[in-house]
Amino acid sequence: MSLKLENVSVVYGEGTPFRKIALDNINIEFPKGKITGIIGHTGSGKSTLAQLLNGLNKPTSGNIYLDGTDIWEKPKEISKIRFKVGLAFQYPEYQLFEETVGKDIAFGPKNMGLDENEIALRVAEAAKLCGIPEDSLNRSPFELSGGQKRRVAIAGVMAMRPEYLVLDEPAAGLDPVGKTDILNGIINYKNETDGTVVLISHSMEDVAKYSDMILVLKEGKVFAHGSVEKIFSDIDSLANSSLDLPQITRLFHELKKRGLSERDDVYTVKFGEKLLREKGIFNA
Amino acid sequence: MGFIQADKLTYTYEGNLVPAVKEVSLSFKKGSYTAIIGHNGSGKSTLAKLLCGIFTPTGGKVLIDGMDTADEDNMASIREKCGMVFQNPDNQIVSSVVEEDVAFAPENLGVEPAQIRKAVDDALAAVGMTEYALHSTYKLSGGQKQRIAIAGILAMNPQCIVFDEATAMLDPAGRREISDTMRKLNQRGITVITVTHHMNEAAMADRIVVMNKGEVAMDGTPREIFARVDELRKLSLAVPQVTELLYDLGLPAALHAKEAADVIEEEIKKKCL
Repeated sequence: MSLKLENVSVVYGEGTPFRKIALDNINIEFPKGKITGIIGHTGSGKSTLAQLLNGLNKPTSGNIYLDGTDIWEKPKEISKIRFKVGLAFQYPEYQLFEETVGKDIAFGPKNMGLDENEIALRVAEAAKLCGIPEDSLNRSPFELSGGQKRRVAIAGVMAMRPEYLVLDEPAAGLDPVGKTDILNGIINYKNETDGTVVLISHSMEDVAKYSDMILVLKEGKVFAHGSVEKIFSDIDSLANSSLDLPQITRLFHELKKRGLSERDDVYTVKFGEKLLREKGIFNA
Repeated sequence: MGFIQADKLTYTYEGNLVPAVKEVSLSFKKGSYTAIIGHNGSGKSTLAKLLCGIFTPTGGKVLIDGMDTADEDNMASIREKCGMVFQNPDNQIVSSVVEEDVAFAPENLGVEPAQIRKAVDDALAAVGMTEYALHSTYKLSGGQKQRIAIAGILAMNPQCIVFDEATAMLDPAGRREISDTMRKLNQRGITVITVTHHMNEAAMADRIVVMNKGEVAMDGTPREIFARVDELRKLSLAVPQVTELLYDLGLPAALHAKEAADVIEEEIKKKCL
């Protein structure tokens, strides 16, 4: 069971002078129950890829398989795919529109044709996962702060209980606490539903901290793909991809160069601390 | 006396009981570079808008180059002296051509055409966007749009620019473009105040003001501020990763990877001798 892309390419502006290959022959599988982080520069194809996963955009060539079935096999039934693969756009808080937070979260489940009780249950569940207090459900979403609005928008996608949750830059522009709240909400969702998560981010630090797998896109192609450990085991290649390495990784890269550390595949502060303490030089 | 002088500055939003900014007194020297940090709702953006005269205080006062921002007669000269760059790059562009957008402010100020030409060219050069002068604005990247917004302010020849989370919506490359631009402008003598969530950006400033519940919680150099890891954590703020590592190991603070490597190397040498 997985979400799989086979030989997928997307070309924008075909037949015009603005022709651009956004994705170039992508072959990749998002395994069930795992969080895959996607990183890459602006223009590397991250958002285009996200929009393919729930059938919002159609590949120019190639196929996308959801649990073994081509999602475009029956184009008229594409909306069913969207209930299975939930997509939260960049800055989703701009898409809130209902009178109350509760109604906004209920919009997706309502469109799925669920009954009132089930909708209420889903809304409560999604609100809880995202840390939205119960008494906020009757408030207008427009009274909330940016970080709170973001949580409501993401809860709206979670309320459909999609098996696959795709989030395009869910933590962009938030303060450190807002960021942690949102990302922890996503981890909660994965743990509670055993769902599969695709997390798009500019931040290598966040991706390293929250994902099981990492996909690095560069100019529409897969630059690297594998477990977090595997990706960070080849620091030189990562550094060459001109992505922003986590600061802690850059430190250990430098220490290794100076012969002060054997390893440079370090991407969390905790692990770095452990390595240094093992030297027996630094006090507890 | 600073270039911007805030004295017991208070601001309460209409309909609110609790002030967003409460009796803040701060002084910003001419040519200084300050980062204001704090979690959401700490009052940092409100403070920024008060410091450049976009908001007028509900209590206390702000003097910009000696001019009271509450006095309407000063408004036009304050706007010329102090500009502001906002968060969303798409909300700050008024024209479809880059150089026309940059010329918007001097045109409105009734500057002579030849002078406008020079001001626009200089401003575009200062932000490294000269080759885009005749491009259309809507096709630019976020970082480029923000640089155009900055050029639009520069064309007025301001003495101070306040950035309100100007890098929040940008990717790492765009963020670097804007931080580099801030540094360059500061080296030209422009007073820079930047509100940011990114600690690596704050570390580039000469001074950091930490806001909490509308008040100044800390004020000092990045090195002084980031040495107080426990207090920052209590204020729900993160510190740069290497700063956190050194703090947990009980070593002196460092802000950048290279600098941290120096600290660790030093410590290893010391212990092995």
